Amino acid sequence: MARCTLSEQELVARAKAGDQDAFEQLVLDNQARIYNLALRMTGSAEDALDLSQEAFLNAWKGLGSFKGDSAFSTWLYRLASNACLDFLRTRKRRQQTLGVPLALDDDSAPPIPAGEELQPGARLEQRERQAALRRALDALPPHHKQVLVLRELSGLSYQELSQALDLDMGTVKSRLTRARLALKKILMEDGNFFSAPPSNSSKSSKRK
Amino acid sequence: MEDCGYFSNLISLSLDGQLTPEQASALETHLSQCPQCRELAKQLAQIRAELDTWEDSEVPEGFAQEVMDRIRALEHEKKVLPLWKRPQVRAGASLAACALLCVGLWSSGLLSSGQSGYSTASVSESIAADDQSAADVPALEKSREAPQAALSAAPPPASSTPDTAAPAAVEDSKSLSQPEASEPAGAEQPAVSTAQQAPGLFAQAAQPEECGAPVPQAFSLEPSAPDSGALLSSVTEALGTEPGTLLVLSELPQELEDADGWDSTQDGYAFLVLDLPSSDGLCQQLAASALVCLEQGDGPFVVLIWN
Repeated sequence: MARCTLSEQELVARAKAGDQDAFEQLVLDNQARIYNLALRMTGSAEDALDLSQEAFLNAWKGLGSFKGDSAFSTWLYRLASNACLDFLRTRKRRQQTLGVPLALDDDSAPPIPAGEELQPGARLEQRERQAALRRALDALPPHHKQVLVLRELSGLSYQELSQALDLDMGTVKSRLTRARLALKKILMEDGNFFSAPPSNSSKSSKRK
Repeated sequence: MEDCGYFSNLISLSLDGQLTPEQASALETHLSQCPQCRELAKQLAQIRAELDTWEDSEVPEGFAQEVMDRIRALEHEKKVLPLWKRPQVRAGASLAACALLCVGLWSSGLLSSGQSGYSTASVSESIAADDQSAADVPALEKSREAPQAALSAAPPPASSTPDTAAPAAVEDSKSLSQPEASEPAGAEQPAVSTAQQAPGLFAQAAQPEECGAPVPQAFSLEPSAPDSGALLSSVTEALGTEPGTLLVLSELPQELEDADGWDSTQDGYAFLVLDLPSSDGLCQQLAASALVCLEQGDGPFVVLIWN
């Protein structure tokens, strides 16, 4: 399909006019971002699939309301992350009613980067750290999880966060800070994160 | 003792490279003096480092295909069901009840063999369901209505509607814009003749009364006529109070289009509350060009877009 050369703006304009092929290209261009956002927010591959597909469907239906004052992906992030937020809140209520804690879905675990020479036991420790962080992320209040996932994993800039969350810059900054502090607190209580050796990547900090 | 709360914010900002030079310098100074904040900075950096190792997971096979399949189904459904979602059928106190009544009439005699196999149940479901796609339908209806306006002048509507509906089922979803483009002249007529020909019509519809007997006649009305009763109740529901004046317009002056505060009713009609007395020049001007003008008395001045 010769659409790859069309700019996002052009694709959006055509999609708004009802061009389904143009919209399909937009789906292809953004599916990885939106699916992974939903995956990291819900911790469940099945729910992530439903929510992210639903987000694209709603994007199609709501195309008329996209005015182009943000990137299209930012608008998608907004739709999808708010849908995940609603989902998380409902799920939390349900959990509390049933009294059953939700087990993390292993399908949704981030892939461990391959190809690094690790000492024996280091890979296990890496798995433990990752698991501890996944548990901690899952335990965060939904709105903290939303801002953290969007910043840390989806890689949105502060400007994009402000647009996606419909918050002013000051609120974006303070919410991020509070979310990070909350996450740190949970990790400290978990005990498996800060006591483990740093992960075997060049970005890791030295042990005390 | 400096405020560690303030510096914890700076530490967070530093992770994203968002510090001004002054802030960076102030932070550095503070960290050299405050072991707690040093510890915090280290811990947050460790979390960041760990998160950086998380890679994206693969999108499941067929993701986009499934999304597009659902969109195609949605668009197709909108094209073969225009009559059911027409505003006339929405008249009356209960949308669902009226829809079921109309479905009953439709399936009893008017549904020709040209239609694809939409069951009564699914049709009434799709009307009664709180589906956002219904909001898009009025725009589509207008394009259908234009050719039908010409038809309904002579032959009884019972035979005209299946004719136009059947080709609609066959149409490619991409040609959505075609009917609109090819019938601009036709589209003008119904709006004008509606306003002129039937003040009685509007008076009838304006009382938010029930459908009952008028339902069979609904098919003989100019299809593009806004149903005042239904719009009034939609707006009332969305506002939480009855409008003092409700104007239904097909066009707006630019400054109103750009105004803040546009809202929409449950069934997808865009409306705006104007904070002006009805005697205001703009309101008078709008009222003069309105398709429908309902004056209820005291209350908000509301303009609603009909297109």
